Amino acid sequence: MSGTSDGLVEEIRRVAKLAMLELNEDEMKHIGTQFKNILDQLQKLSELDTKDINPFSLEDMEPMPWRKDEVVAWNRYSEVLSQAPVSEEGYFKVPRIVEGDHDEK
Amino acid sequence: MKNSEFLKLSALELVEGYKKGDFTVSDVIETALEHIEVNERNLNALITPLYEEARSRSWMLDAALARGEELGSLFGVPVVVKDNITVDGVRTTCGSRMLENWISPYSAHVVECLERAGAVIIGKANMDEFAMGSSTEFSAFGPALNPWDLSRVPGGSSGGSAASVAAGYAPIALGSDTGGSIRQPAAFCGVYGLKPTYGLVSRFGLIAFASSLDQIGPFARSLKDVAAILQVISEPDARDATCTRKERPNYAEFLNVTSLEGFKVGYLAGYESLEIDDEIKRAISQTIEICKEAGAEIVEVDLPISTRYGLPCYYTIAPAEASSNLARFDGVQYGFSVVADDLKELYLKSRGSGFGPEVKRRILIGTFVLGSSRYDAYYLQAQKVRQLIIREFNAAFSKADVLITPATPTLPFKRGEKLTDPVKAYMADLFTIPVNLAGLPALSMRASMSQSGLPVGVQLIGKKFGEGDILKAASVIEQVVGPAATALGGDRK
Repeated sequence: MSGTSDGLVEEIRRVAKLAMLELNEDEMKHIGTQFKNILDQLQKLSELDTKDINPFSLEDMEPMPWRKDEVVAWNRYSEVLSQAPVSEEGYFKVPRIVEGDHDEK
Repeated sequence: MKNSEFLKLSALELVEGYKKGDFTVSDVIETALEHIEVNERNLNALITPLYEEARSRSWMLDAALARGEELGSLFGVPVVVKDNITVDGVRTTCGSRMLENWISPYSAHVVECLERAGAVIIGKANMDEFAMGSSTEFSAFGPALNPWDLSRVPGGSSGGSAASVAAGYAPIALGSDTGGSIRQPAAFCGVYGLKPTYGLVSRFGLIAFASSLDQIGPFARSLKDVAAILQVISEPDARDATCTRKERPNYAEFLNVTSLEGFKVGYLAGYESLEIDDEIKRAISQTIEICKEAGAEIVEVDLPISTRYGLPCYYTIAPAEASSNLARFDGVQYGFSVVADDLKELYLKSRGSGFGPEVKRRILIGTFVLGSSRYDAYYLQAQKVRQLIIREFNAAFSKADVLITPATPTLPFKRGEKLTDPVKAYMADLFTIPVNLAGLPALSMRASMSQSGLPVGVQLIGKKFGEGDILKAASVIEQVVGPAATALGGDRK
């Protein structure tokens, strides 16, 4: 990967933000060097001529079966909800997403 | 028979013993559980032993036996299941802090199959976090150790499953294999490990890592057991759309052949000059010799692209798929979560603290190669290279029925040896990865023991749905080298 190591660190910060991963300074330092070594390896792929190759050829694959879109009863919602970090009245609860001054009811 | 002898019996021998009334299911399960309790202090092969569940099931099965009910093919057989495969009512951690306390409200298809066949699940096996790793050292629950040498790793990511079978916890176990996670630990622990053809075994209930590569498969100490458990878990299932509806053969029928007349065995051209352990090279040539003496035609095959570009191809595609699959762990619906003021902070902090280092590394790589400015150069190019690898295997299989290759480039390595250098650690999967990229079946088996007393494994690769060919060649080899041995209880070979 080209660019200075500062550039690489910035790139990792950007990617971590996209991936919704908080990294501490220590992790940033470690991952920085490893990231570069791994990308160097991945870049070897560019040595191969892949002109005219269909990247998503499915000629070897069995066609996917169709099935009816049917409702199947499943009555264990309470077990699922009881494992939610926060739930209220049968719903998953998250911090408020909509900005504004409305008081909570 | 002394109770400790139960630990060495194969699954099919146990079923025979129950039928003849030689011992009861609770005798066997109790012995296994005591053995586990003592050895877990060292091995750490299990994240969750299921003492109570296994005990009550054994009483239930003994009652069924007494009533003269028809017995399933794995009746009363203790089984260890990797902890990324769900069992109803039991926690499924994936070796991660993220799912440390998550109780699954449903069972995987393979678990339903095992239970219908009468098996007893005695524990959930230790693994590298989310199946990412080759040593089980990336488990949030501490590393599992190799029962042949406690200073060494059992391999990974299904290291706990392989160690359990080698240590006599159970004759059979389930693992999952995305790039070698069944075959590499099987080689390191000296047991059989089969990665079935992509699409043979339903992944319903397997927590996804890389969906175009993941496959569930068995560990065992005998080929008969491999065939028996494969028969059970390969039952078709509409809940995994990739699971084939093709009819499954009777896998046991491929065993017990003595001749490979008319059968072609391929080996990797120039394997002698590869950077692999000398004892592994010797095991390969001995294995080829066994096939030759059984009448097989030996042919040389070339896999230059797979050998040179398999690793970078895999380490582009697998992290890309993982970054997408692991997006579901967001701290909202289940799993590890921190208290936060806004939703974004909740995501960032829950994922930042819930995932360990290797998982974060791979999510970052995956997110990077899928970025709009990198996509063509990395991800799309890797998909094209994957097509070249498929073509290369197709060409090899126009000359041979089965290929013999190393399972791993080295013998089991020391704990901590490859923790700090991921690129070096990724090399452990050099020979197993191309098989996943091409969707093929492959078996790793013990071919000999090293001078230092460690298992030496080889890999047999088959055509798509060529599990029978693999079993046939392996059966001839097993008749010479013997089935796998157990590593605990003073019977190290």
